[in-house]
Amino acid sequence: MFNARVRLPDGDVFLMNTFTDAQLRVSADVAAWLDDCEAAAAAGRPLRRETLRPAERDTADVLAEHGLLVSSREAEREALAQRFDAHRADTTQLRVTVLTTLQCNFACGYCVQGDHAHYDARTGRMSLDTADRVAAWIEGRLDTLRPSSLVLTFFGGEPLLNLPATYALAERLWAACTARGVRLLVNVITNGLLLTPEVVDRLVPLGLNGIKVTLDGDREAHDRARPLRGGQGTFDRILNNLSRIAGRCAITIGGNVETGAIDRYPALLALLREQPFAGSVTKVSFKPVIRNTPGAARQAPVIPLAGLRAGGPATTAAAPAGGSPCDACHFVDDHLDDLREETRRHGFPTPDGLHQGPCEIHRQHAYTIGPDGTLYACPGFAGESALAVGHVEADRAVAHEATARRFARLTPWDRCGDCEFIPVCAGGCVVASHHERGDMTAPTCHKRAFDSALVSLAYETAGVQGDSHP
Amino acid sequence: MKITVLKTAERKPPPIACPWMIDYPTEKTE
Repeated sequence: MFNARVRLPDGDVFLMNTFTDAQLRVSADVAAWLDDCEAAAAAGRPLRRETLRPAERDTADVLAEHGLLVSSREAEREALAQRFDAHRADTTQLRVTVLTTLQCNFACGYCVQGDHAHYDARTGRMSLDTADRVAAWIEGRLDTLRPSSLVLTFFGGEPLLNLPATYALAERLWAACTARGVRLLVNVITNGLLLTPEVVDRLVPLGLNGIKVTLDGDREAHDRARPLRGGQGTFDRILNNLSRIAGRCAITIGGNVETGAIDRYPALLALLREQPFAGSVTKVSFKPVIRNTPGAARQAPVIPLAGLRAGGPATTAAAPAGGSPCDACHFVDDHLDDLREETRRHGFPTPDGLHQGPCEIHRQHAYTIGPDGTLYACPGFAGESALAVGHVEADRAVAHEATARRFARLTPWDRCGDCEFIPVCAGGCVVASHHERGDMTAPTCHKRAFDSALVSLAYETAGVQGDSHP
Repeated sequence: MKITVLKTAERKPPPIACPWMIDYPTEKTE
């Protein structure tokens, strides 16, 4: 069920099982034989080893060893359910994303997180008292779960607008992790405007793992997409700030891709390659801009996550009952695959676009904490008080227990039919489903993007030269 | 019937914490 394939130019076939991650190059007759096996099983005539010819028996053994031939679909589905259950219950790593403030000094056109009008206000900003309570709560989780690592990510709003809370949390949790023998990895996801060597130098001894900033294309495109609240550009200042921290820590570059600016990314990559911090860049990753879809049941403000291509929704709903959700999939950003290749060509690591989920919303011990100590299932729901799943203060957490159970039961992949990408997708982004469809239990389908990424992976893994790429 | 194993299952990478929107920095290895 989870076999994916790509026909290669020489007639061979690239086979991948997305559950086991095994990848094989086979001759066309093997692929055809596998099809015959599947058709026979569907007709109630499952494969019987004793009836196979020797060559078929050897083939069956290799395919079975790598998970491309299984005893039944039911067994494969059960194995997947067990893996997702293990993912949900995993305690080896505690992940906490802290929103030190919802305030932001940028006015990105696609951001629907809100608070632009009040970014100077004290509201939406974590106090040091709350930071203390957050740290105490995290320490409690460390004691209960005994993970081997804690990934502490500062996010917002713009987290560097609240450095006192950031430093207080990092310092206290560094001590807490050191005392408990837990590895601490600190991330900062920032717009980059206030990023300084002093900030980095303060956090490096406290376990700084990486800084992530967003650049939406070259200077012109970025300044249009991510200006200051007064409209001024931010590109040059961000690049200058990144140059000043070159060599001090790992840097991740993210880009929110809008259809109209897609041709501006190669220029950005070329420019990045020339920067003094190029050697510190450990990942460059582009994603479609996500917006709330008009007509969706919910229009509450969230982090800019929902995507919409010009002329239609970028992520869409499942198909009507009876069809595969992916049949109705309109999510395509065919350019993302080109951008990934371009990124690699410039020497920057980038995700392959195939090995994705299940994301951390499906992990019980991945938490997002808002500025007032409220817990959310993931950063995409931050600020939506009705969807809070808890609070760092126990007596305030009780009110959210029902919502927490609702999130814990999310299995959007149950509505993905027989899609071969379920093990590496898990139904897509719940935030997008919630905001674009008004139904967080529904999948958000990216199948065409996965198909495209599979082709690239097949050609790369099978050693097919780029000129042959379709 | 020819089969070449290009990648075995043992090397499967971990899932990305937020593949759809946030892009957490890659965790550096010790």
